[in-house]
Amino acid sequence: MEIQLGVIEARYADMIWEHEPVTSSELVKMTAVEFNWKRTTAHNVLRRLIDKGLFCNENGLVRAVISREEFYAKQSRQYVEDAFAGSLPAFIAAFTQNSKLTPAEAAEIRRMIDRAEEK
Amino acid sequence: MGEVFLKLLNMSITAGWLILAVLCVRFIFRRMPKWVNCVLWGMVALRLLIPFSIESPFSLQPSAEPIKAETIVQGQVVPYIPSIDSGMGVIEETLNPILAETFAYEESESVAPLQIFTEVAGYVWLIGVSVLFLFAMCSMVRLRLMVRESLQYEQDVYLCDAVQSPFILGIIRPGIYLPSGLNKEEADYILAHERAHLRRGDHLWKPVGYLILCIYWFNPLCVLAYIMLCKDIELACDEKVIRNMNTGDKKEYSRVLLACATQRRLVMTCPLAFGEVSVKERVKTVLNYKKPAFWITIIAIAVCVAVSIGFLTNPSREYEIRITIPAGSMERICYSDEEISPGSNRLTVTSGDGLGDTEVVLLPVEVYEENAYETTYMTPGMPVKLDVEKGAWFKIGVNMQNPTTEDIDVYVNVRNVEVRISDNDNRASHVDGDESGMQKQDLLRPEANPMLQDLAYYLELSAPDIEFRDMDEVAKEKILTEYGALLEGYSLIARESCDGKSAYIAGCYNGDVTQSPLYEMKSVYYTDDKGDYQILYLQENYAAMDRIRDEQGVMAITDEGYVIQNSELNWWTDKGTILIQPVDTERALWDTFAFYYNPGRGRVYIEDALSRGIGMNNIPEPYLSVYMISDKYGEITEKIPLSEERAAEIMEEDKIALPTGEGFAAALHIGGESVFYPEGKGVPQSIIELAVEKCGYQFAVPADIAAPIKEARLECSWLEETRYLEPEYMKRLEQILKGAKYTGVGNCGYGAKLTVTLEDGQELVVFKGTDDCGSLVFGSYGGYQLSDKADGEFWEMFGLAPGAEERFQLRTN
Repeated sequence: MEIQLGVIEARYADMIWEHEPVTSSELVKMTAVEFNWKRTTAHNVLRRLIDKGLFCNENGLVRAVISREEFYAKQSRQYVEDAFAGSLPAFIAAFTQNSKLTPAEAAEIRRMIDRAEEK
Repeated sequence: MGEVFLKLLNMSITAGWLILAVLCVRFIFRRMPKWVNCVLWGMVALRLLIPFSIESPFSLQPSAEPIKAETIVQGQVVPYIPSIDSGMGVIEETLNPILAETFAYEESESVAPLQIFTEVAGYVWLIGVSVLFLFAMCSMVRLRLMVRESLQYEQDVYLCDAVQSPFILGIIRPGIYLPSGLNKEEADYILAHERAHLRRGDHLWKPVGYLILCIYWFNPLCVLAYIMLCKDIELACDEKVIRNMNTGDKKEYSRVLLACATQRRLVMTCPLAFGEVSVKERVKTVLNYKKPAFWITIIAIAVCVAVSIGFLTNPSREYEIRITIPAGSMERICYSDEEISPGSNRLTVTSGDGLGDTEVVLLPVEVYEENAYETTYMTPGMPVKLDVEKGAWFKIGVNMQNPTTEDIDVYVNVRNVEVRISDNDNRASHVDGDESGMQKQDLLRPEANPMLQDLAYYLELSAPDIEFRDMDEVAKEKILTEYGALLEGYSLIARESCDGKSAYIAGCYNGDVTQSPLYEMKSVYYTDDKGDYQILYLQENYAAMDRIRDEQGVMAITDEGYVIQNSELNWWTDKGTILIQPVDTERALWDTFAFYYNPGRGRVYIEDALSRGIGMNNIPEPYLSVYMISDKYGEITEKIPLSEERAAEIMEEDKIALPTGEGFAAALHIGGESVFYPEGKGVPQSIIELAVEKCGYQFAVPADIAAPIKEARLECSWLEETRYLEPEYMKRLEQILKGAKYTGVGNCGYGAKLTVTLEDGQELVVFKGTDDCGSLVFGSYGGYQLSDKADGEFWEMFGLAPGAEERFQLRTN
């Protein structure tokens, strides 16, 4: 089974692995310091990690189910597809949005770039 | 709500023209740097946000208010029927009648269809606004939740697992959020782009634009504008980033663009694809970008200025020029009082309120070129363009007659003109041949009325040591405004004393006095054997006069001389009061006196102007005028000159109540003041004495016949000769005279004069009524009555028929 972790989730997981077993309230304090996270955020991400089967929470004490080395041995780093189902609202200044590019179009653009010459 | 919506609708339409203009400019000047486009969109935002604008003759906007909640039908303004003002006659002609029919309503309906329509539309609009706004709010909340799970990467830059595309969140303290899987190089380019957004303020402009869109969601042009805005923002941002990059960097940047585009799954949950600029277009733009030359920037700025002048300003204000068609005017053309000066060589006129199809013409007032101006036909709803001399002054005239008895005001609408009120001199020559009574305008132009001029002159003559000037405009306006209804139809002159204590407005009613607001037309009915009659008569409208007097301290006089004063009134005129004589100075003293002196009404006595010498004899010395009324002798007026001391004595004397009899009265005139002693008031003894001494008046009672009568002669106008009484009747006469009963009522008007000489030499004058009333007046003063029997006896004694008819026969023979 492939478990996918986002970069930030991975960072958090690393932090837990480093300190486990650790109470969830300790984790809250640590993420607050490191990431500037709110308590609920820490809990939410922890929940996801627990759901993905990496950790477990017994009466407020968090410990690993699978070790770090074991986990990374199984995973390959790749880009995460969105956990956020939805595109950005119109009034947000962004980089690019919602482009539909077929592979053919992508290739065409790549060629365009490559062929551009010094001006 | 409906009105709000209508206003917004109009604003969006006017903005729509600007949007179309911007779209054209964008297309034509596609080589321009994209930041210029953003400026243009900024102007659109201004137009949409600000409900008003300045006017300019260069405005390219067809109209400041394209959809009006009223229309003009046959010259009348009809509310609650929509009409279109597009500046293009074709549209108006076709659509306005349809609109008028669709939204027609009866007078009796309490709510017009248009009102219902706009209210409903307003609420629908409000719902739309709320939906869009809520949607934005929800998105914001979701984003904020999402980015809580983030790690700080740099100052104000965070990494986040869940983001697909880098973006900026926040307005006050914006943060840049990057997807967590970027490599350093990618991150650098992206950050450059996002930071460029920040420097440009796009994180603020886009939400502002969206808010405007929330309000104007119903206008597809506004939606299009926002889409274009987003595109232009992105492109401008790209340009900003790559401004100083060499080709190699640009290629790398393009690759990053591509990479970010391809890495994502396509997720379309948002129904509107805002600001979507295809990657291809962006890459192309980036690769082909050249730094613009300086002069291009200049052109760009010039274009922006031109667009703003053309579309941010509103077309020139429309003026309604009023033309008053006087009552009864049959003149071909009537001209406006106001004058216009066109701002260009073409003047557009349209029919306004009150005008149907008519001819319109311009009358040059101040021109520099010799041009002929001919009439042009004008139809409501169809603007007419006239060739004019720019900068010259004209009056506008219309071909309209007025057979009614009231003035009619009509209006002609013009744009892009200056307006002024004409001078007096111009006016007279342009109202062709008006003689039938003064017009309302004369209220302000008494110079046209010579009678008023004389009146004012004489008034001021009577107060020689007061200096007058024309009344202050503000004060005059105040009076005219407050009593406008009462003063209508009067020509007026308003003058005040330089010390501000006295003032007068002299007026003269211009029209039929039965229409004067100071008079009420009353009628009585009576029937006799010949038929039924209605008698009409004028009664003074005391309520109106009292109102003027009480509220303003003014005094009203006749229709011929209507005076308002605001100084303190005094019985005895002092220098501060100005009184006025009737304009008709030929009136007899008696008439004047009787007319004005009416203490029962509380009206202030109007001095006999004759005695003050206004326009007539100027007698400054005191004198006494004594008079008696009788048929035979008519009105006897004796003027007895007096000295000041004597006059003063009389004034101070105690009144003596003497038996009164009609026919004797006196007036004491001192330095222009008059005191009247009519019957009913006690006459001072000294006046009696003067009357006796100077005028031969007799003040007698029957008891004065203390000695036997020696002679009695009767003189009468219808007797050929004086009749003498036979001596045998002398005693009887004495009895009859002494037996007369005192009545106080005097002379009946038909009199014979009986002069009785007593044995002691005293003479007594008795007036005898020659009709059936048996009345006597002893001396000049005492009224007595004989019984019928005695009366008959009297006449027989003198050899005349005892009955009045027979004597009458005799008389007429």
